Amino acid sequence: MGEIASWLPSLLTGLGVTVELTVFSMAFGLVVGLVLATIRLEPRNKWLYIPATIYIEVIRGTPLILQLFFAYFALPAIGIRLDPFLAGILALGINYSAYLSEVFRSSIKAVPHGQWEAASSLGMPWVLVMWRVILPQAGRIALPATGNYFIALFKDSALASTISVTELLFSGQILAAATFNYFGIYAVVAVFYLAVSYPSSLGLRALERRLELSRRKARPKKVTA
Amino acid sequence: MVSTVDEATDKSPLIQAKNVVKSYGDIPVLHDFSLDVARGEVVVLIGPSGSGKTTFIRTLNGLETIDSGRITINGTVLADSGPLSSGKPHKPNSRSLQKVRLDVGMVFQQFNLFPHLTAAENVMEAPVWVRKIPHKDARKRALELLDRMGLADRADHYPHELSGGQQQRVAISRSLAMDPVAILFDEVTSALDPELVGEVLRAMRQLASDGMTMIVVTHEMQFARQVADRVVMMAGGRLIEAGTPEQIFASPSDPRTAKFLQSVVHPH
Repeated sequence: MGEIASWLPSLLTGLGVTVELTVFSMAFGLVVGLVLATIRLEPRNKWLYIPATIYIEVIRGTPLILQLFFAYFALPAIGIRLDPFLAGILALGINYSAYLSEVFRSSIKAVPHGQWEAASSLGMPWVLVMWRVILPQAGRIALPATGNYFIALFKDSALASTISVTELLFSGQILAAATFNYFGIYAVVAVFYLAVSYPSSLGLRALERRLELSRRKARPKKVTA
Repeated sequence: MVSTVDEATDKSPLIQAKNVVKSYGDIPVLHDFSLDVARGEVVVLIGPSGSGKTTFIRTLNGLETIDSGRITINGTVLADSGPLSSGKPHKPNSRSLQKVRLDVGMVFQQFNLFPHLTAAENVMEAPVWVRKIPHKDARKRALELLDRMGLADRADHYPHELSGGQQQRVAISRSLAMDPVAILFDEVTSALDPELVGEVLRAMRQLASDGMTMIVVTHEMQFARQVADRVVMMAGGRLIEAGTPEQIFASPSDPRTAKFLQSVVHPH
């Protein structure tokens, strides 16, 4: 028991780095993914559509670990030196943006066309239609898949250990190399991952239920004298 | 109240469509179609399905582009092109499109309410975000409009909690909230259960008597007979004949009108 306690400080620090890596990469992936999805709604705009499509296909067609190596080991050759943490966020964020953009694109397309027509016939310009009418509905459609990607990203962030980011797995590896207690340490690391991913998945499911439109009810009427 | 007759001196038509031509690929939908609608006029478009009625009213707020012809609405030129000037569909510039959409409301067959917003929020959405009306004033107006449609007690309900007839009346309120000079109705009762049609038609009748300019595509001949100032018969993308309801229903001059009316009144 005392042995486990002695591991905790460095594993907790590692977990903190894992969570930061996940949150920042996810934020990057969400923003870039949404921009890519929007671009790919309009294939006639070739100057944006083609580069966006190439980006998505290249990213989805190559291994994440290669992208991490590229960001950390290859970019210095053209003068871009990133610290491991930044390179990790960049590679994970870019990788997930490609997948998320496809989720967002299909979710936006799943909103009935009549919603665009109704909103624009009220004089709402494109940006407003998107922001006020389409995205609130597409977001609900996208939530389950996006949540899955979030949890997958949390676990994939362990790959950043290969470019020397001292996140949770790498912290474990360092301890294991020093103590040779591979079984104990990797078991505790696994518990740490689960301790975040399982509640997250429960939380996402609860959020999904909460946002379900059919569960929305008229607010109880105020009793007026 | 709906104020539409404030420019009584203006004698030029509010809505003017001249020689409108449109096709989907090789399939022609509108052949040289022309129609003028005066301020305060209620025009009902009738005709068999596929005759171009819906396509025509959708061109009036830019939901459909036209290949050639000229459309002017409340002084704004929405489309203007010579015949076959370029071969490309005529695309209106975004400013005149915006202006026209603010001027002309539209009510759809499938209601198209925003499902994530309550009835009142649906009505307030465009006034708040497009006209920048303060939230409180917009809500007050929305409640008035919903009350006029007999929906005072449904203001805070979501669309899925409302019947089709109620949803359609919310959609009409939503359109009215932008103070349009005219409203287009695209088969607004066709998706409703028969017992809910009456409440929507009553609301439209009320609007007509308030002086709203309306172009109505419908199969409700009773409504056309009682409310229309002018009935326009379309077939194959062409205007077959137009006249007062008495003329069209009592003594149609074209055999296609007679045949169509026959089929609507005695469907079997």
